[in-house]
Amino acid sequence: MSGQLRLRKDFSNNESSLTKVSDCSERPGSVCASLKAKNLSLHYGDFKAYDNVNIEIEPCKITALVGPSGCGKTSFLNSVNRLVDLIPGSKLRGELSFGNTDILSPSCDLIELRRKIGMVFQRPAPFPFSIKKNFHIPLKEHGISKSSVRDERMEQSLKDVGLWDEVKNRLKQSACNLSGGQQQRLCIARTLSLKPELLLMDEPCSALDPVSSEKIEQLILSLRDNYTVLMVTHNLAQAKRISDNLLVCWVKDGTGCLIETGKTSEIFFAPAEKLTKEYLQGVRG
Amino acid sequence: MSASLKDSFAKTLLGFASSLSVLVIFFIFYFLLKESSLALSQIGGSRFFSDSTWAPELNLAEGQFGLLEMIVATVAVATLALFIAAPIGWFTAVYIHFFCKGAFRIFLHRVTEIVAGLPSVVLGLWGLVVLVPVLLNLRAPGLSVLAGAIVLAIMIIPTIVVSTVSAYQNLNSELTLTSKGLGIGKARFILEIATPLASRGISTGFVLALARAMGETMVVVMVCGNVVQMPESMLDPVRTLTGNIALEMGYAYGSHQSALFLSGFLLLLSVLTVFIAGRLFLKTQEEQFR
Ligand SMILES: Nc1ncnc2c1ncn2[C@@H]1O[C@H](COP(=O)(O)OP(=O)(O)O)[C@@H](O)[C@H]1O
Ligand SMILES: [Mg+2]
Repeated sequence: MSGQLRLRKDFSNNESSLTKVSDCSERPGSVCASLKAKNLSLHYGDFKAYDNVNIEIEPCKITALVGPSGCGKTSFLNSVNRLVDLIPGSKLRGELSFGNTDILSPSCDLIELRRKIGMVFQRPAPFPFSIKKNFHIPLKEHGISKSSVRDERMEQSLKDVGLWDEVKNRLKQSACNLSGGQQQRLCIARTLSLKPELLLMDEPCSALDPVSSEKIEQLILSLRDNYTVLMVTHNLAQAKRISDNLLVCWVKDGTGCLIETGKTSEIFFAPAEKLTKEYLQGVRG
Repeated sequence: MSASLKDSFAKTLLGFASSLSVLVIFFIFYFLLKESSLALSQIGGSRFFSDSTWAPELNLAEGQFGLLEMIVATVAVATLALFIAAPIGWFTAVYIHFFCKGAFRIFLHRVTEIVAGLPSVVLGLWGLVVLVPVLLNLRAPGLSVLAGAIVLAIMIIPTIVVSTVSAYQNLNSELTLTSKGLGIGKARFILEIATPLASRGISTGFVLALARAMGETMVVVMVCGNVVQMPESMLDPVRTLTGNIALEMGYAYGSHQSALFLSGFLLLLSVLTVFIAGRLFLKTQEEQFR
């Protein structure tokens, strides 16, 4: 805790933030922190996107968030790293914490929060710069002042996502020349290079072909031991294959809500709610 | 009329319209060259660069027809204006685009438009009454390269602001989301992501502004002092090519008048050079980028 407090103060001083960052590299995906939401709700102006969310995400597990379109899955992910702040009129109420960090606190350090809680978007979104720059810009922001250290981080993360051999000879070329699947793996690697503790993924495979999609799926599985993953997916079979825990959400009276949470295997085997059962069987949703 | 006939008719019409602007440029070039031909034949092309100064006489052998001092003055005033205006215009655009919201943003937009629409003679008057006396404290006569550059800078700042803001607006809005998602702060986003990606639009604005500054006449006539000489400091009075044409065209005739057309031709040529150089510079920049 004192380490976290120190970080912000020393942020301008690269040396000390470097120490801090290498601290966390010793235990990637700091295993203890868990994400907790209590009575969480989100408004876009007068429109209530979701309400009454009470969950605790188990650390070092893959949690899948499933539900029909428009039930607020993306909105929920964007709440966890406060990206909804970008939308004028959005208002989060309730409690939301990650480890010791109170996410909704006005004094929450958003830059550090977004490092700890990494995001992978639905559509691959590399910056239209070289592959190398895609890594260097965020790493610089997070206090890695030495270029050689940034290169090491880049190499390690690209290896982690199995992209290193494909791109090691073209690091200076534009990231936009990569295929869709490669771009998405690049984005995952870019997020991993910041050593996050929690990974948010918003339908990371939905914009990809089956082969790339399969690769990403394997990749997510390989992350399980070191990171906490919270992923949205439309693909129930995928959720069943790779997730440990499942969150099922629904739209009631125009507002999103959670209808069932628990172990994936149990929910698929014996859903407690009738709605869940119908959704999982493909009758509804 | 059949559809394909309509298509080809529309195509011809559009082709005609767009070739018109090319034709206009050619026509202007041709006309300026034709009007300069008398001077070129009677005075000779080389004297415009070898003569030490500009002092036209009826007796061509006694007169001086050097344009170099005025070419340097034109370039100096316009470049200095751009150096002053570019950072201010860029900062303003960054402020408007990234830091302002709602009513205040609209207010700043309106102010920019108003400044853009100010008649240059009014800006010249302001320069004469307010700016020149201040510079006079530094050194007489106050009418100078710097005076012209400052007034021109005020004139071209709106051009830069408008083109820079629109260059930022044209960026993909997902960039902001992606950057925020990676915890990239605003300053780094602006400097290392948005600005490099918008550089094409931004530098196009700079080129347009420079061309406008080179071509402006009224302001420089009013505040630059109109002394034909090679400027040695920013506080020296100078006469630019445009100023020279405006001042002498009223009474010039014969070879003198023709020489003024020639200086118009040189001005047009330098403006075109600025455009082409700007394009080439951008190209090398973009290749480096990829
Ligand atoms: N920026 C926004 N402003 C207003 N309403 C929004 C915004 N984004 C999403 N919504 C609304 O919030 C609800 C949930 O959307 P979303 O989180 O995208 O759902 P999902 O990802 O589950 O499909 C939808 O009804 C959608 O129309
Ligand atoms: Mg969504």
